[in-house]
Amino acid sequence: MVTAPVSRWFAQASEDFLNLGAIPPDVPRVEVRRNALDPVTFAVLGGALFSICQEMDITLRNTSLSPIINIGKDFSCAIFTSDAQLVAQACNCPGHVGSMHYAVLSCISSFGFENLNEGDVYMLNDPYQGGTHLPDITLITPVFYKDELVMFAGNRAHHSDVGGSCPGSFPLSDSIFEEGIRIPPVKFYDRGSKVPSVISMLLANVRTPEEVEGDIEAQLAANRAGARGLVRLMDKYGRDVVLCAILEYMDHSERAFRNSLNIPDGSYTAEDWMDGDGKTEGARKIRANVVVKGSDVFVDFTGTEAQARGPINSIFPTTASMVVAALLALTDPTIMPNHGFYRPIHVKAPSGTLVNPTFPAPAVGFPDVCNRIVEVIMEALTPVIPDRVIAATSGTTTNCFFGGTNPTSGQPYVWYNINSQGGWGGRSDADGWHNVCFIEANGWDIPVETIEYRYPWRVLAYKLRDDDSGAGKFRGGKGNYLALTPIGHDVQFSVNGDRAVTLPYGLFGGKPGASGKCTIYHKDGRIERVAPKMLKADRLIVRQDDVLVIEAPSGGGYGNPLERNVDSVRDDVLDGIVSIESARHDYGVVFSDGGRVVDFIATAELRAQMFNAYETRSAELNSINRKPYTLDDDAGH
Amino acid sequence: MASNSRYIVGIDIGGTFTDVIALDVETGHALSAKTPTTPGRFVAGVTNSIKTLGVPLHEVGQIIHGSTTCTNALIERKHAKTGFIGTKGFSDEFDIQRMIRRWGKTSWSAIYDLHQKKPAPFVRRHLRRELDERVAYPGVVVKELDLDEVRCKAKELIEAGASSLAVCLLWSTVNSSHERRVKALIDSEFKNVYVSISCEVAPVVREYERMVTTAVNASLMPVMTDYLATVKEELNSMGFRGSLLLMQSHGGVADPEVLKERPILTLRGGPVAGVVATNNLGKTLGTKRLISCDIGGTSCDTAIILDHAIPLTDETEVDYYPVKIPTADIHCIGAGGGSIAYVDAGGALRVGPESAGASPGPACYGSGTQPTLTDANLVLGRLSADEFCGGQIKLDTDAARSSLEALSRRLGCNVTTAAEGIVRVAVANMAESIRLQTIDRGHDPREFSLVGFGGGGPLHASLLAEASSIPEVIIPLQPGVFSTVGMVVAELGYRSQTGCLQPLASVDPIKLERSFREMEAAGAAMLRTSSTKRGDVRFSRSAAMRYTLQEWEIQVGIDVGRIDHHGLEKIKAAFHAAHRARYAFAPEDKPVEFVTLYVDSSLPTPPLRHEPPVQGDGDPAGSQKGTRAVYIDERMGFVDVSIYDRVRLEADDVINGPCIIEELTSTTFVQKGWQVTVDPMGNLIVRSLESER
Amino acid sequence: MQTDSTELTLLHNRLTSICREMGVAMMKTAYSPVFNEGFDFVCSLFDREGRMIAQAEYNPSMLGAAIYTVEWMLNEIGVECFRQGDVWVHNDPYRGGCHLPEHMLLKPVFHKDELFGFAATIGHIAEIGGKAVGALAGDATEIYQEGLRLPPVKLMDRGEHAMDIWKILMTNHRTPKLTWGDLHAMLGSLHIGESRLIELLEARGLSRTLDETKELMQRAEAWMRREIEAIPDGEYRFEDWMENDGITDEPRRIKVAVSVRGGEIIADFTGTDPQTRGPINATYAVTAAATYNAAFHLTDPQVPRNAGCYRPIKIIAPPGTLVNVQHPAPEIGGNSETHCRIIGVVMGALAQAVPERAAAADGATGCNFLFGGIHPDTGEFYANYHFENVGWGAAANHDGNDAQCAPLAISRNVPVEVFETRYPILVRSLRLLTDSGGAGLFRGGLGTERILEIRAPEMTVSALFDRMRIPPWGLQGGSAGGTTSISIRRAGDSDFRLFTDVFHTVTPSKFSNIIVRQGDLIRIVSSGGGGYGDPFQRPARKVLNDVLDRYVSPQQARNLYGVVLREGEGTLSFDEAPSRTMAGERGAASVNLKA
Repeated sequence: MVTAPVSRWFAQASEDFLNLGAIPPDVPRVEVRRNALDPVTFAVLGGALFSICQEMDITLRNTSLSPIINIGKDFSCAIFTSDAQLVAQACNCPGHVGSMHYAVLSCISSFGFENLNEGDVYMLNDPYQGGTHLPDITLITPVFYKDELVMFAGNRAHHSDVGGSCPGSFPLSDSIFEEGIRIPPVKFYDRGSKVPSVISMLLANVRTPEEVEGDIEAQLAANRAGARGLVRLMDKYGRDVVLCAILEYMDHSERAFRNSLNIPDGSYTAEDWMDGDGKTEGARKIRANVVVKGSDVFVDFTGTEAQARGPINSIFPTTASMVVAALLALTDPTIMPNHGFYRPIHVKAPSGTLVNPTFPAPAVGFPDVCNRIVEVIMEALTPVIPDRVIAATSGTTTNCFFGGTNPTSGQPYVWYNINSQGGWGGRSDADGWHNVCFIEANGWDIPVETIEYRYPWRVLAYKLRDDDSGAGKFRGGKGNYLALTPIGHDVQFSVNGDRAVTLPYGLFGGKPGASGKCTIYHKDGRIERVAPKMLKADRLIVRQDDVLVIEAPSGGGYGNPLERNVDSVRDDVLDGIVSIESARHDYGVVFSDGGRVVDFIATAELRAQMFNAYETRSAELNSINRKPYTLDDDAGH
Repeated sequence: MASNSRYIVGIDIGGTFTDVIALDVETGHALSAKTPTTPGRFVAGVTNSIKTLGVPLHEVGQIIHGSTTCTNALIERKHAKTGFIGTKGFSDEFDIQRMIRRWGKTSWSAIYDLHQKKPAPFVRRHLRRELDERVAYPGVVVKELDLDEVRCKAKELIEAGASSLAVCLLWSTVNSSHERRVKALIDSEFKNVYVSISCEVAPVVREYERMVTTAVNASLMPVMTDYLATVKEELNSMGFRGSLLLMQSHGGVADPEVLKERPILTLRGGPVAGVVATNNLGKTLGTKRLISCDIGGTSCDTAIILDHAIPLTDETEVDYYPVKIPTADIHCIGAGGGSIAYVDAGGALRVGPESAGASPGPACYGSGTQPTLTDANLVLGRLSADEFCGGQIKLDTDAARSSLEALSRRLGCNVTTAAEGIVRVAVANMAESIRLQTIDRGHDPREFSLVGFGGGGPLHASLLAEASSIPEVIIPLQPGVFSTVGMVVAELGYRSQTGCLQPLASVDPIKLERSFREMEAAGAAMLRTSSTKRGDVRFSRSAAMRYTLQEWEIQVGIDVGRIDHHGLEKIKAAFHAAHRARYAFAPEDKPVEFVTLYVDSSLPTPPLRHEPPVQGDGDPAGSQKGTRAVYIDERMGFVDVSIYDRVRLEADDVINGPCIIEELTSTTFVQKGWQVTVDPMGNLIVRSLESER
Repeated sequence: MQTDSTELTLLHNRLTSICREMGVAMMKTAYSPVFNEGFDFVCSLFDREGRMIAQAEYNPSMLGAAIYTVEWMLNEIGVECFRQGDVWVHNDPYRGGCHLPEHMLLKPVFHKDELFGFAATIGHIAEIGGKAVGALAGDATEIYQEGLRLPPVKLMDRGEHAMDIWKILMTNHRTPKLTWGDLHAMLGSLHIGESRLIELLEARGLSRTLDETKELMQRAEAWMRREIEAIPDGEYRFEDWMENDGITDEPRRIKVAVSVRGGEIIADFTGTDPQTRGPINATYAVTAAATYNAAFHLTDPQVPRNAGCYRPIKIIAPPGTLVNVQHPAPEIGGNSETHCRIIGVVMGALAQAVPERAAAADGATGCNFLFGGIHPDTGEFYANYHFENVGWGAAANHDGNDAQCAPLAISRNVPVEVFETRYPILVRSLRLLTDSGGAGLFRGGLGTERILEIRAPEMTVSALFDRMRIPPWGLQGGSAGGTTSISIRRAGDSDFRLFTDVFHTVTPSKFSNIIVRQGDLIRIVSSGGGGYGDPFQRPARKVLNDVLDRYVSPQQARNLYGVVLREGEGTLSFDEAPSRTMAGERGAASVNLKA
């Protein structure tokens, strides 16, 4: 394998801090005459650039075919400068966008800037050549204005299947080769005409060629819309004004970030663990040291464990995108993310670790690692910005993939279930959300009626979990409970989850959330708990009339539950969010009259009593409530 | 026509003002007035405004209004306590809420914002019950309904205090028998409880949206019933003998008796009136491409009207709760007179979406301190401090100026530049909104006319047209109360819809024709319940369609006569064309499917005839009432421009910009390079001189 | 048109030698051992309608399928799409290919701007990505797990590399350098085929050559018909079993009824088990190739191998069964394992018609053993597709050959020394396995035992074996041959154990991606051939020699052949009379497959 130039670029982050805003010196850039822009034109163009991305977004969503894209919104659209700097994004997945400019870089370095022509469209999905994981196929279109390449429009979408060793292309892989077809940067369109062999080759290797083809058409339409919008903008304002505004605009985001960072100088460290890598059991450590120096942030992942045998590795671009996501979330999320925003951010991620693996490490399960990266950074900063951080979220999308043949139509299908999302952590001022997609992505769930229309399955329940967990002054949100049964056929099934053992932690006395679970209730009465130690399994069979139950983790609580407003506890009990037992044991709230009325006197007494007990353990409770899973004697073979 | 139904009165209750218009159906002439809104006392507002007009109530045949009762009840959560009955295993979708994070301040910040607020479930958990029943696609009953269970669950909810019940069972769009049996049982066994079932309220696939829509509807049923009872009683006591009609969100008016069952249809009854009025104006002028642009105190509402049809959508939300009802496709952005200007953390000028509203209001109203778009316009001389809103409100120029000073310091410029910047940024935001609806949908703005109305429309219309490359602006008569015209000219209309999730290739044309006919019959029946006689019911058919496997539909008009195989082909071709127009490609070899069928039934409206202005000689000099220093642009700065009195303008008068035209309800600013002509009906036609060269 | 027979013979020989020359070029220039040592490829020529006009004697499994591989592709692409300098590639089993590793490259040959036909090669590319290193995942459940699938695409476009396709290939194969080398060897071979054909066309003219090749096909067909006419008419039935599919450990039946009617053979596989979840399914092309293969074994090997000789043989294979699998089922083992079994059942059926020409079952498995990983010396990926030789079945007049490639192929064994230079493996031993040949009047050939030592920190291994429990049958009273096995001795252990015991694989014979470590030993035993005729009839002298040569153990000599050996003075002699009365003891020897 020849190392792609783009991986050589980010390999630099192994030895030393890589400034995320830096651009490789050998990337040519177009000349821009920088004039001072009046603030108004500047504001107008800022809005216009974002609108272009939004139009790309709507086009892709509305014309695509697979539910993971057109409902799940597992895609993102963005525009870039000619030297691959992010200009604006209409993002759904934070993981997609902070990493997409590496795809543009990869195209530039792979073809040579001078060989990029009007009418070309480039395609790639190889994580080691600018992609994220194989299901994410990226399309990059160079945008020409008056015969000059001035910008790029790009989008990245998660396809229902890209081949590989199990339907949905989320196997417990040993290497990237098992994860599906890898597309290096290739020309999908060459000077306006489609390269027929590329698409036919791709379609021959995926289980859902009809969906993949349609989705790629939708991606194309989105890039066309983006290119059209940019050309229109330059027609109206002039090339230099637009390009100049873009540069200004990056400076603006940089300033905005630096001005609102507001974290005291210092060095902050935290560690957290992934349950396991799917191949071998045993927690995997992710460690981050965050150094704030003025308005610059240095995030160092030294101390993170070696890259995993199984698919829980996050290649550098996705790692970087999560550092960006974490810092945006902890400063001012309304800052428009663009390349200028990256400039104050520096990342070091040693090669060969979970956060910067080397070829051919498997990478398909990166999203859960990504989410953990955000959490580790939050954990590190918890002591200094306690109001801005939140307790742990589900930490996983508990992705499930089903592959089978529809007994009615005889057609094979792949269903990527994204409905099993967990709860969010409690916050300094509010409870965590129930059942919301975790931070790496942000999609809609697929309506039960859409599932049943498209797939030969019956959904038996789609609801909140009913266990008590994540108690806190502001409690964690509940994870999802999904029960399903395949109709008239057997199904191949794989699941990729986490937080089955290392619970979502609580903060400042808040209790941890509930772990993720997956259970098959066999027709014959047998109950099979799937992969209880790390919730990662592939190629399982769910048979006709078996019931599969997936429970996503719930979020951790924030603050001492004894300080929770009694009315809120009562409301939760009334709504069945918290049981009467938990109200008493966790919150010190006592009910009378069969659970309808709060006994305030008893509550006050109980709370006082419990609070004293709490005090004695305050050292323990003021820290983060999390316990890493340690490997027992039952190591894998 | 008998004299006791001489007038049709339209009333538009806004946040600040209540606008009213009375159409004399004998002469076609209209009277209008603007009165302050009486918050919380809508009935009084209605009666007061009619009194202001001086029209005797007993001569009013119809009162049409866009009720904000339901909207306000919803936003303030002052609706009925509502219980929900759903299929076992799914009622938690009220909490799940489609899972996506989208409650951030901006669309991009939502994905990173850890502190945004997820809306509370529309129906709380303790007011939800589940039935152990199940229907599966395509309509098979998997588990039978148990009526005893229904009885028991309904009883529990009523005991828990629910006065309204919403029922939404899975797949009721393909087999509604369970829902209907639930409703029948509750209707017969429980008195004084309202019931709303999803197959009637919103027969659309996707359960969460349907559940919420049904629940919203149920929660509004008692509100609507009470409101109507009060209004009718009061009006009757005042001698009103006519009928009361309500505006629906898709732009048709309906008899409130019908709307008692579906109060949800009135939710967007306010903003749509302006679109209806614009459409009516377009019909009168014979103009087929119009952009309706209503700029008020807090928002700028734009809509595209093509071929005299009001654009519709069913992607509406109220406070993040999906409301799957046919609604005029109005693009609303937070840019109005009250929009607050500020400098963000990165040092950039931003305007809106926050608004100073009616209280504290713009700085120049006297109590606010934050600079707003109105303050900027005042400082620029484009508004008169004395003539604002017919002199009802005196504006404080000094307050406006001082509010801008802090801002200009942060921007490093003078107050005038800051004010001009605010206007330009606001106009650019509005232009962006128009662009999303025109260029991005394949329409060329150069073929459109912009109709500017509302308090701020005439003030910004020529700037906005310039920014959007629109060559012509129309300022209608009485632009400040133009929306009320929409009330009186709106057709009695009802939109029926039915789910029809199936591939076009497997559709039996005979059955499809039958479905449409049934919907037409239902629509006609609905209209005929109203007491008016307005001629024959007209029908228009359409369908939401998509390529198989797509999830988002395009609405396609169906005008093929009686549907047969040939007609199906034509429908398919129309869909391909619509897809191509919207997304620049159409995979014509791919299968196409129907998702929803619609029939719009309508009864035409009596014509509105404005009294034409006096024929003039082209010279507006007689209408000039003075001059004022008005800021034009960076190069020209402040220039003394002529101020005209609109009521004195004569037909064919021509005025070159820059100029200001004032009238009771609004101020029109015409930028330099634009020319105004008064048309024979009194509309101001403002054209870009540049585009004519 | 009457053509001179001599001319025709000359043409046939010339075309065949072009194919051979193509093959030699390929062998000498290829990079991977399965090519340059293993011979796992074919070279052939086609006319412009996609009919095979000549081939060289390389891998017969591919040859039988090649007629479909080319024809179906031409139907899909359209013959008008080919331009001078183009080379198309495809490996899709659902478009006439055998299994994914076998890539067909097709180059159009023009004479004065007119298309004459095509030069084609099919080669087994050792590593094509997918679930398991070396593609043959014994537990694959869909074709998507079996490697990169190529629909017909241009590899060369008017003489230029189609870079996008090359990049995708290089990215998806684990050993892209080998792929590059092997594909270029194939391209070179096609270039030779093309040049030689053009020379030939210049000498003979295009239309004449086309006419003559047509005539060649007709003659081959007529000859084949005559051969078949020599087989007595009738319907002959036979069945055999695949012992599992790698996913569920249950045997699957292959059933055939072969009708011989005059000059035509119809092999009807109705009654064969449904296609499986595991990778032992055969595509129609594989089943056809196997049937042709069996028929060619029983007819005159001199019949010219062009499209004509296939015509009298018809195949009925119900869709959705093991012998005509439907997309997207896995089928990678269908070509290596099931193919052998199909040859076996057709031969078994025809053996009833022409027992004198038939042979007992051969070892009939590829013993496919795949391994790969990062080479500790180079830091690069290596991968290999390794197969073992097996014993062949004994026939009516001779013993079965020992340790020979299963009849689906004619591939060669990769020398130990080549093996060890390329891979971090030490071959501890490679020998014939005593007693693995089925006893009989004529003894079945012996299988082998190979012991490999892992010399890398870790290595990923996969296996696709059969005949581990259901042995190769004997004929006419001959015993079954020995079964295969693959087992492992972990470093520090004292015994070899099956993978089911050590790694909990579902089956002992088919699995993928097992990680083994430095010092582990892997033992591979291949199957022997079935015996022919009553072993008690085998001359005692021959039995003695077999014992002396350690082909047969003294115990087996006594128990199966009834020959008791005596040891004395450093020599062995035998005592015939008493032991041969023990005939009643020979039990499970004969065809007894339903066990």
